[in-house]
Formats: sequence, structure tokens, C-alpha cells
Amino acid sequence: MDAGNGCSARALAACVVGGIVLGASVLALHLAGGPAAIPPLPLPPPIGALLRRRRRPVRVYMDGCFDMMHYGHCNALRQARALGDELVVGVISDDEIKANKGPPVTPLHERMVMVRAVKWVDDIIPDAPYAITEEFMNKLFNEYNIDYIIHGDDPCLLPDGTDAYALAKKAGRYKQIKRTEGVSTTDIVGRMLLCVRERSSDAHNHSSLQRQFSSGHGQKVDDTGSGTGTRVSHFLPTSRRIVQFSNSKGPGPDSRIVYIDGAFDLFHAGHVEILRLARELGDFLLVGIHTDQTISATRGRHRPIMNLHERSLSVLACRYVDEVIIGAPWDVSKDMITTFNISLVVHGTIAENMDFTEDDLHPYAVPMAMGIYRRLESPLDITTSTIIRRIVANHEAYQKRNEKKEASEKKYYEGKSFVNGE
Amino acid sequence: MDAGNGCSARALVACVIGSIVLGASVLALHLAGGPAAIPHLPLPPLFGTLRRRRRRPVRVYMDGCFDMMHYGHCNALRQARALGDELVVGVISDDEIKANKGPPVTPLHERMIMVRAVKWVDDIIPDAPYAITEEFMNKLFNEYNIDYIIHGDDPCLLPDGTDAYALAKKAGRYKQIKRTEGVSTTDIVGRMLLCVRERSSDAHNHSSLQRQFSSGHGQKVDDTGSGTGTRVSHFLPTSRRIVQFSNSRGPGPDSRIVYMDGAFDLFHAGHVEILRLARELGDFLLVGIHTDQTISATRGRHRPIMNLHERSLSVLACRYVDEVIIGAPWDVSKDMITTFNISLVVHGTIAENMDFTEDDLHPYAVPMAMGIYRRLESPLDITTSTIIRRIVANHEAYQKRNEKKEASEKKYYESKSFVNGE
Repeated sequence: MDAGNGCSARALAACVVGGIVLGASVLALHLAGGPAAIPPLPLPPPIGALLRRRRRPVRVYMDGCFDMMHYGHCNALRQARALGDELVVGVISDDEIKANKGPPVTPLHERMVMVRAVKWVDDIIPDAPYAITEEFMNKLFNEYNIDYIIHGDDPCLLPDGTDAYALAKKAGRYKQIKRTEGVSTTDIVGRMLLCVRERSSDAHNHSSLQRQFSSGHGQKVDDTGSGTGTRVSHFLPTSRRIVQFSNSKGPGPDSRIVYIDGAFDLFHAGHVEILRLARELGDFLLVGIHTDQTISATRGRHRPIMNLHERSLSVLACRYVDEVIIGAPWDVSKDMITTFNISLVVHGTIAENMDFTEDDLHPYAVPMAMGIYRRLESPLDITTSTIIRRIVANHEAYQKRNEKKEASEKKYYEGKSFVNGE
Repeated sequence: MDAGNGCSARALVACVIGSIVLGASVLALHLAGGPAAIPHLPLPPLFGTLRRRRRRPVRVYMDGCFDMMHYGHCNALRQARALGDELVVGVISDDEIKANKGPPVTPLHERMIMVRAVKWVDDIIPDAPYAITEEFMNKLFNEYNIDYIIHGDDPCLLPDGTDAYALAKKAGRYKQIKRTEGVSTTDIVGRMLLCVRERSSDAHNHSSLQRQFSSGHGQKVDDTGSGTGTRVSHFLPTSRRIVQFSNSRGPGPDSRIVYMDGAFDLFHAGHVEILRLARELGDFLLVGIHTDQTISATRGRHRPIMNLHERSLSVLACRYVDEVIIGAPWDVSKDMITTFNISLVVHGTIAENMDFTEDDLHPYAVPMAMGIYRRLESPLDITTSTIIRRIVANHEAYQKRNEKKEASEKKYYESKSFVNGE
């Protein structure tokens, strides 16, 4: 009888193991046989599952000036986030930027607003140092629990010529992402410096700045001097990039949809704050981006600085934005309100081009008549012209800096090779 | 001893059942604790699992003329597919179209090519009847195993005024989708008829046709007669629409990427066939869509008929296309080849604007020099001009039909209300 009990115990153990396997198999069959829409899942062993459940999220760190923030910055942050679970961003201080690169266009508090607004940012370290010292690196690893420090594949040299990320590389805690093609702060600043030159020389150039740089026509612009932009690579908007920047989430059946439109040129902190306010008024924020032609007609031939797709991606990267209309009409029509089920149309008090007093030309005549128009008090008094005035006021300093950086970027593009994972 | 054996047997059964539950629980824990990227799956009871595994896929049927196929047709097919697992499309015959609507622009075999090329189409029934008779409906249910018949929320009346889908509704096997805003065959045909009128009246109108209809400017066009387009609703490209039409799949690290560019205006069977050939030469097909300005400059002021985003969505809906560049440059530069890791650049033998003989103006000079350029023999000798010539040759018949349909569409838009799930 004792021998019998032993046999039963072993049989029990075998049945338990078999049952676990059977249970897992049944679920696996279910997963395999389920609707095609469910993506196949690899089934790791239970121990792996237990370990994974206890796993701390991988935290990555990326720093930058984020001056004149654009969609290239946003794309870099998106790629960095994809290398981990949480992204901590170091925003370099005004003094450090001035010491290493020259005066910033945007003060720290505005740059903080911009970085915090990006969808893929989890935490921010203000006043980050330009060079990662050993002391700061240890602080990142121990206090902020950073696993890896991330940077783009373009070189970042200190004034003394050394690699700014040498320590992290030596520690084996460095990872690299691909630089976003076709855009850089140098390029954007160059467009505005060209604007200065045009005004001073009174040239008869009617094409807008963005057409010369990023319209995608492939037209060759005469190389009339340096410091006016890189003209090396141009932004080419792809469907995939729009997919990456979108959140793929549509409005629910009872969502309160808020609509705000504008040029959103040189996307800045004023844009971020008004979008944040607009989003609070509803469940879904739809943003209309005006076409290049509309902006050129209403604001002059030097606008927009950035083209429609560049502007669309910058707005799409903002965490308060759910969807954008790429090339929205100037007038907000009844049909548009019906098509997108818009509950409220808003506009900020601080905006350029506020001179539509005639009823026929008022773009918000229809929502006003429907009683769904509202003016919002803009939290910041920044406009695109504000940004341009900052550039113009210091254009000599920026031109010198641009010349220096242009040489570095030209060298990068000559040695550029394809790196997948953009 | 016999009683002891009985107890052991019952214990065994209990252990087996418990183990199955335990196995399922372990997997459930794994799923719950896994990376956030894995979508959460509801775990149905075992019985439901077994039943679901044996479930036949839901098959839906949608018919249409699909004449002058455009992205509105594609979006309708995408919505229909979302209501089931497999989509069967009935393409109505030439004779049936002629009897009910007037002569088609596109013959059946070309329309078949277009429908088959759409990503979301699983099967095709050629020569489908215009009205769904009881005999044909039973054939759908029994032979083709169709579960539901799908149609848009705009009315479809037979010449005698009765509802074309009354039988399916009565049988409880009808489902409805939302009509795609801003586009219709009537609208597109109207643009080309306007082209005819402009030429005959020699009007000094320099804006391109698509700008008058769908540029998103919201400009009001003088209502100079009927039959020249609906002018009721305009296409507004959103980021979400691009997300819906894209397959969200990037190239692999070793993918052979083929690049093809063009206007792709009035997306037609010739475009489909050349894209199919191009796709066979590699693993990933990247398509460059030229801007409106580029096309207008090279093909005349009446082109393009459709704007950049309309053309982009039509190409994106094609199953052979992986990604598009929205607004591709005319020249294929070395930087572009590097950025997208292009292995081969192709061009069809049948194409408009084949007069770049000077080296300086040749858009493929760089890929030629790199040895990665190839000419493809176009399988069909259709160009956009072919389509336009068909319209012009029968413009009186089309104008009459447009007038009739325009009244119907105007009535639809006046009573239009928002239906979610577009």
C-alpha cells in the first residue's frame, strides 16, 4: 500500500505538469485560431513571465538644447523612447548653450514647455550640463535610474574637440539613434537669415523661403554665400512618418470634439499652451493646419518658414493633439463641422492676422452663427514673429554660428550612410 | 483498497482540472505583466475558446461600379472590410451600368484590375447585377457564404424608384457604412468637364481644376452653370486617414527597396500594373507622389485633376504599395537614395512627359550614374490623358448624367448628419 501511495504521488505530479502544459496549449491554440486581427504572441516559459512581471522599466536619457524645436527633435525623442520604456530628457541651460554654441533663441522656460509637450517624454531634467561629466553620469545612473544614454549618429564635440559622450560609451551605457533627415535648427535659422538678406538687398525673389529649402521640388538654389542654410538635405514627408507621429486613436461616439486652426509655423511655446487649453475644453482635439498658399496670401511672401508637412508633424508630436487636418481651409464651413462632428471652434487672443472684421471674410462666421465659437485667452504672448524678431536682433551672431555648424553638417552628410530604424 | 483507488481517481481528476486552470492563470499573469507594447487580450472561457476556434470567418459583400475609381471607393471598401473578416466585391457589368447610369468611362476588365489591387479586397465577383434580385441574394448567401451585404449611407435607387437593397434589409442581412466626405465620381468627372468648358470658352482661368474643387482653400467658385461638379463637400486630408490607409510596416534591415515616382493622377489600371511589376523587383515599394506645382509646371495648368493628398491616398490604398512620399522631388538625388536606402529606381515605358533628353534636366541622372536605374515595360498603354479623352469624347452624355446625379447628391448633403466609424 505504501508503494501504491508512492505511485499515486508520482502520477499526481505528472498530471499536474501535464495539466499545466495542456492549459498553456489550449490558450496557445486559442491565440493561433483567433481572429487575424490579434497579433501572434510568443509564449515565453512561466519563469520568464514571472521575471518579466517583476522587471523595472528600462529608462533612457537624452539631452539637447531643443532650441527652435522642430519635428526633427520630436522624431529623435520618439526614437529614443522606442529604445526603452521611459524617456527622461535633459534640457541644457541657457548659460551652457551660450558657452558652447552661442546665444539661444529660446529661453529655458519656453524650451521646457516645448519638450514637456512632446508625446514621448516622461520626465525632464532642467539645467542639464552640455558635457556629461562623470559626476553627472553617476547621478543619472544612481539617482534617476537611467539605463542608457542616447544620442544621434551625428558627432557632438566639445569646444576642446573631445567626444561629449565618451564616458557613457566607455561605461557601455550608450545607444545611438538616427538623425532625422532633412531638418536641423541650422536649416531653419538659415531660412530666416535669408529673409534678412533679402530685405537688405531688396532682391526680387518671390518664392517663399520654405519653397527654397524644403518644398520637395528639388529645385537647385544658387549658392549665394554661406550661413544661409545647409541646403544639403530636404524633408520628404512619408506616409510612414505620419503613422509614427499619430496616435491612431479616433474620437469616441460621444466625444466632444474641439477644433482649432492656424499656421503653427515655427511651432513654439505659445502654440503649445493654447493647444493645452483647447484640449481641456473637450475629449478630442482636431487641429487644422493651413496650407502654404493660404499663409503666404495672408502673412506675406516670406511666410511660412516651414512647409505644410513640417508644420503638421510638429503639431502631431504635441501630446495635446489628437488629429490634424493637413491643409485646412481658411473658412470653417458647416460641412466641415458636420463631417468631423465638431462641438466647439476656438481661437486664441494672441495670434497674427487678427484683422478679419468684415463679415464676408470672417473665417468663423458659421461657428459663430451656430453658437459654438469661443475665444481663448492665450497664456503666452509669443507669436511666430516673436521668434523671427529674436533671430533678426542677433542675426550677426547666428550667422557666424551657422557658418561654423554648416561645415560640420556638410561633413556629416558627405559621410552619411543608411541606418535602419529611423 | 478499492475505496482508496476511488479517492485517488477523484483526486487525479481534480488535480488535472486545477492544473489546467493554473496553466491558464500563469499565461494570464504573463500577459498582464508583459511589456506595454503587447495589446491586452481578453481571455474568454474555455468553451468560448473552443467554439471560436471553429468559427467560420464573417464574409461581407459590397458591390459597385467602381468607375473612375478613387480613394473614396477605397475608403468604402476599407470600412466594409472592417465589418467582417473577408470582403467579397461585386463589380457591376458594363451593360448594367449603361442601362442604369449611362456609359461607363472604364471598361470592366480595367475596373476589375483596380478593385483587385485594393488592400482590403479578398475576392471579386465580376458582372454583378445592379439590383440585387432574390435569386442573386440567395446565391450570395448560399454559394459565396456571404453574411452581410454592405452599402453606404447615401441612397441607391433603381430607375423605378425602389431601394436597390430592400431585399437584403428585409432579410436582416444588410449593414451600412459612411460615405467618404469630399469626393465622388461626379465631382472628379465634373473637374474634367470644366476643363472642356474652359477650352471651348477660352476663359482666362489660371488656377488648376483641383484647386477649385479640393485644394482646401475654401474659396468660393462662381456657380456658372450645372453639370460641372458638385462643389458641395471638399476633401480634407487628416493624419488619421493616412494612418488608416497605411500598413504601418517599415522595410526590414535587408530589404531591397524599389523606388518609383510619378503624378499618379486619376489613379488607373495602368498605374496598378506598373506598380505590381515594380513591387516584384524588390521587398518594399516606395512610391514618390509629385506635388501639384511640379505637375502643373510639366503637364500644363489643367493638371493635376486631383490634388496631392487625394493622389497619395489612392496610391496608398494599392496593395502593392508599402509607403509613399507625399510631395516627392522631381529629381532623384543621391541624398534621397541614401535616406531611404533605395536599391533600384524604376520608370515605366508608357508615361506622359517623356521628353527629358538633356542631361541637366534628367530626373534619373543620379540613379543612372549609380547603375540602379531600370526601365519597365508598361503592361497597359493607359495614361491619365487616356482617361480624360474618354470623358471628352462622351462629354455630352456625362454632363447630362452629372446634372442628374448632382441633384441627388445635393439633397444628400443638405440632410447629412454625422455617423461615426468613418
